Amino acid sequence: MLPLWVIVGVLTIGGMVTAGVTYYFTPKYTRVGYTPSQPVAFSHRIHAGQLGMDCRYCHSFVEESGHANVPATQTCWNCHQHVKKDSPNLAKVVESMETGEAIPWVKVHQVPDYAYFDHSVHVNRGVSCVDCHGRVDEMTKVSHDQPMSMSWCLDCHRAPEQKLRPLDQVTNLGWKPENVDRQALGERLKKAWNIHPPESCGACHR
Amino acid sequence: MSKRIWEHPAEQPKSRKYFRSLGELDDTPEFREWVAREFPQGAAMMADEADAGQSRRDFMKLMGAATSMAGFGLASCRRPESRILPYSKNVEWVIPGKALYYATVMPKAGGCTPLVVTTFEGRPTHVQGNRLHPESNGSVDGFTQASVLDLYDPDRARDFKQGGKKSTRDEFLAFLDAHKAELTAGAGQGLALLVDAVPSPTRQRLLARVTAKFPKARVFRYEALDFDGARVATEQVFGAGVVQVPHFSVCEKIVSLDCDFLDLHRPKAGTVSRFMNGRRAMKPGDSMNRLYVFESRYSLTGGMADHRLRVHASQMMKVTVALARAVAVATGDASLTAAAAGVKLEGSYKPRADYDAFVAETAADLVASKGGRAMVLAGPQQPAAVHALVAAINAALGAYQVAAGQSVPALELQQQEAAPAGTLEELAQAVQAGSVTTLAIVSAADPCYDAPASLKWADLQKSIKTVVHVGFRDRTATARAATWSVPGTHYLEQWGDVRSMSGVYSIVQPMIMPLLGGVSDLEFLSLLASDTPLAVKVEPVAPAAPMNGAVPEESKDPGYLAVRETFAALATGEVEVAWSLALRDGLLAGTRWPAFTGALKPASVATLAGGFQDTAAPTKDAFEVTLVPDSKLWDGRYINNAWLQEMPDSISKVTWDNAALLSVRTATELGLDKYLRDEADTLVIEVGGQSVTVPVIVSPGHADHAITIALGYGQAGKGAAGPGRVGEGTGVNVYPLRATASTYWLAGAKVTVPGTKVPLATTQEHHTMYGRELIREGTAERFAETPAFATTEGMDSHIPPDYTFYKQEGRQGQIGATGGLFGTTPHLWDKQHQWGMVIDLNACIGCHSCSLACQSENNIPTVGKRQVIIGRDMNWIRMDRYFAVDVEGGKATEGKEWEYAETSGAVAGGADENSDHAGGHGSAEPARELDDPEMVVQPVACQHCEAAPCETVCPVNATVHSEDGLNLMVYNRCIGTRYCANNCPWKARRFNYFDYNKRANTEREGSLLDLHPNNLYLGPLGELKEDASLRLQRNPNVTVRMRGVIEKCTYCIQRIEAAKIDQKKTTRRQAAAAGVSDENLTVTAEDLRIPTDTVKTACQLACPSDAIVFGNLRDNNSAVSKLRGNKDIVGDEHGVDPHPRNYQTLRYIGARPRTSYLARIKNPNPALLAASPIEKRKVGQASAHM
Repeated sequence: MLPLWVIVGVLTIGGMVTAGVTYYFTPKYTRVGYTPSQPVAFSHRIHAGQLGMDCRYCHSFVEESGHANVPATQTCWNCHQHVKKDSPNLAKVVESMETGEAIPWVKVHQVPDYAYFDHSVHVNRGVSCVDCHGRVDEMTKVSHDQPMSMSWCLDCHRAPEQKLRPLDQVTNLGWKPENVDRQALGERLKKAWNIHPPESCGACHR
Repeated sequence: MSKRIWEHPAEQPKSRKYFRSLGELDDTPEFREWVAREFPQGAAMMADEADAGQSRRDFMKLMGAATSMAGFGLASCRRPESRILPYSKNVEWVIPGKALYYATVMPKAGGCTPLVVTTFEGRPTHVQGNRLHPESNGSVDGFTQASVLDLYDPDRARDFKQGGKKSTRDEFLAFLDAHKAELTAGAGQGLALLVDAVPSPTRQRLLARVTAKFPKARVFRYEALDFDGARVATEQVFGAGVVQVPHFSVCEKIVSLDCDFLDLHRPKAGTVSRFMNGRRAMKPGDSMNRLYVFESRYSLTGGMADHRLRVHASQMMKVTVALARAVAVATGDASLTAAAAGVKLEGSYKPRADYDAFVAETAADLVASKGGRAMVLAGPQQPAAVHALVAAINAALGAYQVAAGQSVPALELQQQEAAPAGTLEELAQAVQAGSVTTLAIVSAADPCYDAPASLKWADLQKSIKTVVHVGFRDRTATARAATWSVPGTHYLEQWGDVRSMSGVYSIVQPMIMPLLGGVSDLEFLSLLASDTPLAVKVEPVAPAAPMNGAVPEESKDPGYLAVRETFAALATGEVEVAWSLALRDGLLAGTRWPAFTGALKPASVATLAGGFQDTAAPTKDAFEVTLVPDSKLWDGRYINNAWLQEMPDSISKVTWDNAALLSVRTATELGLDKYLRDEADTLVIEVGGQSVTVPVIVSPGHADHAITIALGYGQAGKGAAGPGRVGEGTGVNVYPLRATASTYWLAGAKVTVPGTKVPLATTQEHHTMYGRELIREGTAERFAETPAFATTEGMDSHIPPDYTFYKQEGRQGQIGATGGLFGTTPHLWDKQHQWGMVIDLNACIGCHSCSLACQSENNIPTVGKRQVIIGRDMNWIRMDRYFAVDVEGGKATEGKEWEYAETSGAVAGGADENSDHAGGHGSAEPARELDDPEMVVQPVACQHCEAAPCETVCPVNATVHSEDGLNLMVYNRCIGTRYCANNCPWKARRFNYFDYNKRANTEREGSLLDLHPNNLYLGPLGELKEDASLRLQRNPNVTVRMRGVIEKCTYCIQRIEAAKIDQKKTTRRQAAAAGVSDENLTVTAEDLRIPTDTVKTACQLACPSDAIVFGNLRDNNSAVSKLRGNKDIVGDEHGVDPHPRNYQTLRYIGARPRTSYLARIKNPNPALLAASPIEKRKVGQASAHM
């Protein structure tokens, strides 16, 4: 028979290790809050927040393609050939326009290569940008808002009614309808739009 | 090592035995051991290690060290930073993540293959056929399918080279300027151009410009596989520039004399489908065409034949004469009688006892369909005399007439534009005479390697002062020996044009800028013909850019400008509009060659046929050697293409090598090993003063005392001096045996058996299934009598309905069921989509287009010869090729008597027996079944069983079912136990033993880390692939699998999911168009159903005979529902019945596969069956196996 303190000690250490792994080794800890510095100090807070630009002005193919494209330099240039053209913050944009070299944006959200997330099907079926990306319109530097782990995906796939909203509010990140029961609205939309999010592996893993 | 085997029901006595290898037929102990080991690599690997002088223990030690080193790496582990690089300026039409499709064609000698190319952000990744093109049914052949890999070949030509040393474009242009000045001074004296046989109008025009600038310059044309016979014959019998286009769709009777028109001699991309349309047998009693094939080795066309006779390639004239006589008698055609009588034949020939009856009945059958419904085709490698006589037979049969109710004749004659050019022989004479000082080779051919030995071209080329070689491959003997080697472009990165076989003007459109800045053939000729100095750098332009007119005219690709100029002369109406349409469709309509209006000249037929030099039939002292184009490398130009190298040959199932094919009888006589595994006997062949040593494969159905060897292998050299990393050291070069470019067989060969063995990778015994037969076949007659014969025979006749070992319905916890892990919904709950596939064995010819299309679409790696030998080939679709012999009921279980069962008992009038062998095979032994078996093919991939045996054994749920009926393989869950592959009755699963995608598969020598001579075995310490360019070919929508996971056919799930997503978006757009606010939008389940037959798998699209049908079984209108039936899916009252020929393989297991097959139907000639007991025995009834 082992001494009691050994048993208690092993159990405690074991419990601590388990708890530690459960918390620290998950995307909730490792990913959320990741805020890399970008080569151009682009502020979503100014553009999407203060100026009220729609997400789709820059991420123009989000409704068409699986990728929500990062805009071409040309998109920046549409406005910035007139606005603040000489600002040192925009030096890399000007340089990119002149040389044709891409601006090397740092990737914030990354799903594994074997997972195929499709933006278009989500935004076309009433899932808002904010549900995965958070209040980007309030971020000066874009930061990883949600864990984006598989179980987190499935939370919503199993109960989409929590997140569904009218299609014209998908890019309205601050949408807070008054006197509307989100749960009831979600359930109604889910039924009307025949939403059955896939839960089989093949939906994302090919 | 051996595993427990579920006792399958005892085999019933059967009349027909199907086998893939002779080992399987004779059930040798080696074969049994191979089958019993699910993964036979274990022992082989130990053997390898012993060879290398290393032990497994050493390997483990080093691996341990490697792991601990990797542990240090973990200390600094943090999220790797990755970058997103968007375009700086938006590119027209490009949506990141979405494919773009462009029409183009792949130029080939004498024509082209029309294509639609898939590109992702400018990278071509996959090709499929262009249905808009009148010559195509939307399919592609293997060469074309694999050509996309060549584009990214790291060993392709990349640098300008002068005398083998790296140079630059500017230096080359400076040289060209100076050299042109020299040439101009002498009016082009001494300039010669050597081009290939691609019929490009623009190239022809530019060549004319070059000869206008240098009036004394001469143009020569050369293809290693020049099919001179057909050309010379049509030229003399009809007129210069006449081309004969066969229309299979109108033919009832087709005779092939050594013509592999379904595979290697396929005239057009749509040929196979049009031939099949005449024999689809969709309803009992439907009329079917009938195919007679006379050939020396089994070809795919021979495999499809209703009647096949083994005839030596060199003896084809004797058969032609016999056929001509019989046709002449029946039709009373005097000129044919005269022509046939004028042929001087050497000795008599009787390939089989029933030869006379065979020819007589064939001729009678042809004559019965005369007047535009019967034709005879001679193989392009046959001499002009045979073609001339065949043209006369066709004329007598009225094949050039239009039959009543048809719009085209069986054989249409068209008048091509003449493009005169000299031959390589003439060029060689000019070089010998010293009249060539500058030679420009603008060609894919490699004359230093593949020119006839008698020319001694390599020496001749050295004697020319200046040789400029422009080509896509510069790792060729010709390019290495050239003064200047100019990197050419791939057809996917250049502008160009081609006249297809029937003359349709087709445009070659670039998909991508030249990856390595190559020079296209048109650009080179433009440079040569240009009057302005070239020292100014010419920048080629991006393909899509000219649309907006932003690119200044003078900086455009000269190839583009040249093609536009040709196009402007051809197009009618608004040229810009016509150009845009032509780019979209890939062709300019209304540009077929005009019809040839002349008639056959009987006098020329008589002259050609009378001048024929016949040879005696081969004997055991004087073998015949037949040289054929390779089904994968063609003339050798695709030697560095790993997909093609690893694709098993359609008949011999050899990968990474060529081999000598011999008949069973000849191999037995020579004492060679019939049961090939890993190693093959070698044979030394001496003929015409040349000698080669070749590995041997025994090929049932081959003519006796004859050897068939494929050309194109054995390109010499190692490393940078070799053909490239893939092609290095593969196969044996048999070009030196050829006397002229139109030599396809040699008589009087001596063979000796040195007794040595060489490793040979053949897949014919891989993934065998304990002899559980999958094939069902019958005759047209049987199909008319008992339409559903395939489902009522053998075991199928007495299994209870819905019998299954692997019950899944109602199984709880199935992933995909609603309500999470403990849901109660049945596992196939999707009411909109249930996927299924039907493969029509009647149409499948056994080529490997589907396999290659799958490889291209699904990022399937190649593994290399050593790995193939130990059974690790990765192709998801395995093409089984079975031979079948007739055995009398029950005998097979008692012994092997049937193997030696004489056909004599079956031959009427045993007196024929002796003359048979005296004349034909020079042997006193009677004919054996094995000498002349039938051949059938069957593609097998994952069957997507509803009650899948693989799913029940996976310990980690890495293979599960989706709600729409797919058997999913989840790579990220797979831990590599391989239980699933073990339990798969179809052997359809493949395992990634190594990081084939990531690590170089190179043999290593002399390194300290040499635990194993192959880099793959070093695991994480191994070198990464240097050839990063190959990554550009990958399909971004399919995971690139790493080491340790199982993979298999997914029914192209990426295409299905993309279509589902598209459908979900469409409904919203429709609602928006209808003006409904989205909150009031109602989307029904029906709205979310993908439109009928809009998802097509890669294999389905690539299939030349449209044998693969895929679709939604929940949709009664889909093609697959109509063939497979869907009452089991939607219920008896709503569903449709299956096609009578539809059957499931291994139905008695009860796995309920979603892939089913349609039984094969043969259409034998009843009169021939009555006249020849041998044919009666040979004709397939049905697989009564089990």
